[in-house]
Amino acid sequence: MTNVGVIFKRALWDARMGVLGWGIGLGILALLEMALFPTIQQAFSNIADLLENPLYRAFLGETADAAAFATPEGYLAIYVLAFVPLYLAVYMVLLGLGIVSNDEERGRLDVLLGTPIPRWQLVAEKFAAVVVITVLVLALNGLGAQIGVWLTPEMQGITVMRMAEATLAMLPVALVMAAMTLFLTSLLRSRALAIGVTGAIIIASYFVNNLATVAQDTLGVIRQLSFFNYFSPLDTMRSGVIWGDFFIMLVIALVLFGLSLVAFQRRDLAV
Amino acid sequence: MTAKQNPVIHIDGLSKDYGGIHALNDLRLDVQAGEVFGYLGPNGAGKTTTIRLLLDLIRPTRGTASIFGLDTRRQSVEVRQRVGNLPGDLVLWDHMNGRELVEYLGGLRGGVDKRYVSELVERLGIDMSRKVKACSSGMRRKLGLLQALMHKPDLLILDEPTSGLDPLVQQTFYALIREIKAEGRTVFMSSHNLPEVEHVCDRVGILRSGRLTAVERIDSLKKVHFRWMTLQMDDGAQSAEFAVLPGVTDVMAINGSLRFRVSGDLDPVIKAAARHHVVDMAYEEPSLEDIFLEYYGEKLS
Repeated sequence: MTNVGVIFKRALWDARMGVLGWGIGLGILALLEMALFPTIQQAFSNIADLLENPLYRAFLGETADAAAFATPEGYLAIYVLAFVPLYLAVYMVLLGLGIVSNDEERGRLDVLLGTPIPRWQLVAEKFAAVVVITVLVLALNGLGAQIGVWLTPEMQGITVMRMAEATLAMLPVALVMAAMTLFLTSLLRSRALAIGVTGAIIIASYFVNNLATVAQDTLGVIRQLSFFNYFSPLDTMRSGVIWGDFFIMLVIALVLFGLSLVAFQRRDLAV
Repeated sequence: MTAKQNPVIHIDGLSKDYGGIHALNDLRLDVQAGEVFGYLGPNGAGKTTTIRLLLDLIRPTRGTASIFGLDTRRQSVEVRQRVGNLPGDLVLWDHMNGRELVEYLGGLRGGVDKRYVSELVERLGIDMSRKVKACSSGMRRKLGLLQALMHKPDLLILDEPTSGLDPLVQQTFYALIREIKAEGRTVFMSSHNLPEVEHVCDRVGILRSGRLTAVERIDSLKKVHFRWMTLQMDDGAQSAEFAVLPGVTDVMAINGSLRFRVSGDLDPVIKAAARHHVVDMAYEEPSLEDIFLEYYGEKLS
């Protein structure tokens, strides 16, 4: 086929400002957070008490480990690994909507799919672009954090390799969020409903997983359904990518992508 | 085999239901190679539904269709390779300009001749440097025509192609359609503009409430084609004088003017009017509904 890659390249080009905005924004935020480590470390005795509060544990989950928080790895686990996927959730939902929903809702799919491309190719090329975009944004975020580490003597224990692993570990989490949005828009056709359901699932997954650290008896089983259960910021910072969890998340993203192909292939396109 | 035996479009019992609503009901239709086929009907009749079914954008509830002998569902990519499509509710990418649009859609189509694109751009008067969001609706429509025509498709499927085009560009469009026909290519165009269909089409299909109620040659329709004419004359012209003219019926005297229906040749009316001092003349095209009520009224009687 001569048209392979056309949609992929166009999707990347169209996303260039978003990549720069989100990537540089998150990178600067990470850099500043690293630079703040010495200040926050000095106030650690106050923060340690706060981290024992169940309310904070609901927000931070296993990363709310008072002893770990005082270390560069624990600090980075909270400020980069735990929070960035939450910030990125907004962008990943937007990217997920950009795969089919934006063109469909605005009525452009009648032109796009009037050309000789199969529906699966449209979805596959746009999803591939989302993967590249996510890698670029995460890389810019990781670069900002690494510059912050270089500039902050107290953070010197963090190696470039560990930062790269931390960055890589966030990729499948982000992709699951985009793939979920894609799946729901492929299935439901309604953009608003897809945004609502994806948002609800992300928030519920996050809090169920974190609350389970203080309510293991009641939420232990439900926690298995949370995709954040397969993402452990603190363990990643301590021992690198947890490949089992990494591949589980990657498989979830790929299954959602595959289901999206099937759902989108079978249904009518909205007018 | 002759082209007659191998229709470019073959539709067999195509139906589309939305819930309990029959948007299209048991459509059976053949369009022959080299033909310009007008697909007429009021809004909501099922014209766009038919086009979207042919392009596999929606799936039929029942029935099948083929284009160039290829099944529009199972072989839709191969079908779309040979088709140029202009959607009725055309929406393009606001952030692209004409050049980017041609590059993007041309890249997806392949086989786009840059010289032909330049020729079309010139003939249609398109500003290729302007972003779509800055274009008027007419300019967007021209961009839509450009993307439908640029790869010289064997079949053009156009949904309300001249909607929003200024009269000058409409004439260019008609000329393009005549050239496409002369090259033996086929055009399937929906419209609710009868004069336009008369102007360029060989045959016309009429859709009402999802059902194909008639397929006729334009020549046959023209025989029953009538207009309403109103003549204002200030020298006491009598209705009886016009009532006896061939093709003139339903003569009414209203506020000093004569209003009547005239079918076929206009010459007798013009000559009769020329004997008087004509202050004003109004000439109204009948609605599509009127034409077909007339046509089938005559056929039934």
